[in-house]
Amino acid sequence: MARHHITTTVNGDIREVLVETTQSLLDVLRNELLLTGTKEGCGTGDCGACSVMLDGRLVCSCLVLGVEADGKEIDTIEGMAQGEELHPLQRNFLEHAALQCGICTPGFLIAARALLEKNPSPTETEVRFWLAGNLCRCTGYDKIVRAVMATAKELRETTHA
Amino acid sequence: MPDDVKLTREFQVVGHRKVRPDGVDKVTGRAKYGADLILPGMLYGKVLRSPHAHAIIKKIDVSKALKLPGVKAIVTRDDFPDQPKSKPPYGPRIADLWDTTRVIMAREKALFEGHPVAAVAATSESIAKQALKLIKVDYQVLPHVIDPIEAMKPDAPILHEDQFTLGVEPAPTKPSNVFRVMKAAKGDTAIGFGEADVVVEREFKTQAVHQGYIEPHACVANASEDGSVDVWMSTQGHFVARNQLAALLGMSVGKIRFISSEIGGGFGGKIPMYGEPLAVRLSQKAHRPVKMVMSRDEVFRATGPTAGATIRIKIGARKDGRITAAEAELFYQAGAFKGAEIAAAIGCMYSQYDLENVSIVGYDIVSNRPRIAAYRAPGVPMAAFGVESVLNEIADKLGIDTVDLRLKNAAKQGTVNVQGLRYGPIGFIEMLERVKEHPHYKAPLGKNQGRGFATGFWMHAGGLSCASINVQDDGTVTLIEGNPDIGGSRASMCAMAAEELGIPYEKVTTLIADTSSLGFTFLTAGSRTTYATGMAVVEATRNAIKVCCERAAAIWGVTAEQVKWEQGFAKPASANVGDFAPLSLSELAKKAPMMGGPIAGHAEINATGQGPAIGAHLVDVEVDPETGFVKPLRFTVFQDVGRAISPDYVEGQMQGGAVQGIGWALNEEYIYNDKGQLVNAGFLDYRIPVASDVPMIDTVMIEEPNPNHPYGVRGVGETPIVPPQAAVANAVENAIGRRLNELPLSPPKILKALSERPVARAAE
Amino acid sequence: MARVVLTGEARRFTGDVDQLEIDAKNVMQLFRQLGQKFPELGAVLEDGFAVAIDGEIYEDSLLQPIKPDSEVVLIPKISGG
Repeated sequence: MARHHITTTVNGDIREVLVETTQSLLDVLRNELLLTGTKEGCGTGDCGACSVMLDGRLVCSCLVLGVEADGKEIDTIEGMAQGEELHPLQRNFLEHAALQCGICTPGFLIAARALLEKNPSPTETEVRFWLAGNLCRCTGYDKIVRAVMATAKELRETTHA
Repeated sequence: MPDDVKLTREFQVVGHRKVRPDGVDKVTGRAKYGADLILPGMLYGKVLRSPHAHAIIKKIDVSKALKLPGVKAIVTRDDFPDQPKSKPPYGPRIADLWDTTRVIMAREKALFEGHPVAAVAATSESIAKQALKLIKVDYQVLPHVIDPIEAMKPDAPILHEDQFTLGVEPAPTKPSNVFRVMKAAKGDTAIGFGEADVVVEREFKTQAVHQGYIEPHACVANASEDGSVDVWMSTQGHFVARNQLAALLGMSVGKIRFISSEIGGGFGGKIPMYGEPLAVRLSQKAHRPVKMVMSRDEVFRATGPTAGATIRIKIGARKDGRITAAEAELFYQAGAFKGAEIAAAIGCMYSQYDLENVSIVGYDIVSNRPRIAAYRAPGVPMAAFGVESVLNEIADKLGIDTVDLRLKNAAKQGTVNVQGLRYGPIGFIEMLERVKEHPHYKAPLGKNQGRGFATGFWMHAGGLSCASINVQDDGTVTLIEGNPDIGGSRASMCAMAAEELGIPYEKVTTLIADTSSLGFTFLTAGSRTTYATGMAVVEATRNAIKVCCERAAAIWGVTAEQVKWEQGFAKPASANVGDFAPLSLSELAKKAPMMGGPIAGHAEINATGQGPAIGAHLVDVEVDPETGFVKPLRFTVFQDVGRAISPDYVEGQMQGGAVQGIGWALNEEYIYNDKGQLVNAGFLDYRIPVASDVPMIDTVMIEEPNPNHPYGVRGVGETPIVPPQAAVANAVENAIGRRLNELPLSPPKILKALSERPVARAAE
Repeated sequence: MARVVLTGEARRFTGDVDQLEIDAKNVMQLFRQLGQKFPELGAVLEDGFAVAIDGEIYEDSLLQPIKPDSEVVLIPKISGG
């Protein structure tokens, strides 16, 4: 199968890669760019484990074709921490024990960050509905929602400080 | 284990909320799960699966597929030796190799849609998928059967012509889909029912539900020409997998090394092996590593869900609420090969109650779907659904509070259950009293809302665990154990070792050993990890402490008995031993190379002494009368956890199990077409709970320490999936005034029940 | 002599016998003697059954001691998920 040459920016780095026509962005991230932090849970856009930002928009990377990444900016979980410093969401997920097996965690973090950037004061219901596209089988969602709400509160207080 | 002093003193580390040691890697995407390993030269494996639920496999022609450029190896049943039947076929952990080799690769027949028939390794996934299309299989399609009651009928299609039902007298001469009938009884239920003022008899039905772990099965097999193989695998038990692989492929155990990746959920479903033997064989043939990852579709079609079941319950009680007799008939679906978890159901379904007259009969029935795999307290939730629903109805009929009914019949110390097991201390009564005291119990309910209550009993496992601890020069400690970490167990192991040593939690690093680096350790399952491996960790740590004391004794010129270990220091056991300054762990470690060698401790144990693990759930739901949608509004989980080593993660087990139970009760089921093919093999149509479906799950951890564990631990992981189905069903009944006995309680069923309601009640 | 209680599945192999006295110092000796009395039960004991000795459960514990006045119950092994 012929491959297409694409140029894309991933977590701020310009990457060039050869992509098959039928490869999803998820396949490209994991198998070609070796960024395995983004996970495949279903391959059909139902579980959200493959969540990434594409030009600032939250998407399921399993529903995006690899070739569509040409010329675009992608943010994955690998770019969420700033060097040594974890993003407040990452920190709060750890403090609130918002993960058990952790496979859904990258997807939740990307999705939750997108929420807080759009809505810094979500209610519990808004958090739950925004995250309804991310499946977790281990936690029952309780501690995840608490971690997101705590982060929202922390970010609001830091902004106002 | 001796030393019950630990049950009562204040802990420095154990019981405090600590950040788990593997946490940072998991929130940054650095942690490596089954599909995340990439090796140079790696090939991609894909499996060809039967589209038929039941068919004879007459011929498999791989010649065209082999010619496709990029295809490096293909395997079929001819690449796997046949295996003997286990003789006699018994025991829950006996993997009957005859069955298991057919689970991983069909031989004579395809026995379920999705049954592996061949596998290919190629240089890319797309080439491997293309190659599958070029494999020609000649099937002779046979009639199939899925439902267990249908499979018992005399004219049902037979899966195994040599299966004659065990446990039936006289021994049958015709083959059957019923593998065996199991019975247990106590007292005389006929007399008991005679004494009852009310008798309720009901039939319940549950569907097969999948464990639903978000990470599909994945492995990388890397075979060497020297006859050895490394297997990287997402699994709940790499030691068990290694031994099973050796048996399946006729290899020696010493030549196989399984490395456990991080695991993205299991709940019992990652105990069996599926693609690993195929990947190993492909790697041996291709002389390159082979990665094999299931798609979500394959996970649903070809891995084991739990049994669907028909459950008949009959309970009789006197006016005062005392149960006089309890019976059950269980019809469980095993999938294509025997092994429905009837024994566990018998052992647990009535076991939290003190009953004089009990009789249970269970049927283990095969049918054309994947062989079941364990799902969190396997075999018990379905039976509990029936029991706790009937008890609710009895409480209603007698006008007794539903919790009071349980109190009147609660097991206590000295109660003997249906298996003859006599209980030690069991905190069921205290738990029920905590339920009644809880604000949730009396909170007001609104329109279309209802409250439900149910309890559950589970007996968790112990078993083999090994641990090894090494003290480094700088006083930090490396702990090696053998349990894949599904839910934060490394944190608990660090905590227990740190507590024993009296050093900060951060100084302990816990690693999960591969199978060549540690003695056999049993599964991460059966709620056993913190219990059994915790025991091994504590024993290993105490052995290392012994060495430390011996070293200190040598330094001071006294005997080891004259040295005690306290808060991270070796100290003279009493003032008259001498005036020696305490020696810290790092001081002793620095001196160790000159005093005989590095300081270490190890333990290889078979953990025993486990006790019952009981729980109770209280749930409020609201039913939308227009759509039939049921929304849980408030949920409280009560559980006796013994001692919560890592409270955050104990709560997490309680919450996660409850929400799985909500899904089981309200949405989840396997839907088949008339060809026996699964039509909802994905997360869109097999709908597990999402964040907007459920409320916060409140937890009440009751700590009644188990005196047989150095920290009083009780296994907690599985119990929380036993009560929620009945609790939700009881809440729905309370809300709509109609009893529904078939799970899932999906909107069409609710709407039908609402339409059948007497008008007066509907107007409330 | 330890008192051995047989229920459910174990009873299948022993006919009407639901209780018997056995002189055994540990589980291995108990299993051996039960196997001598009931060969079909003996074939499945090690793989299929755990014992509860005076209320404490022991699986795969052939060396576990049994006291002269112990009550021993045979129960199916415990699995999990």
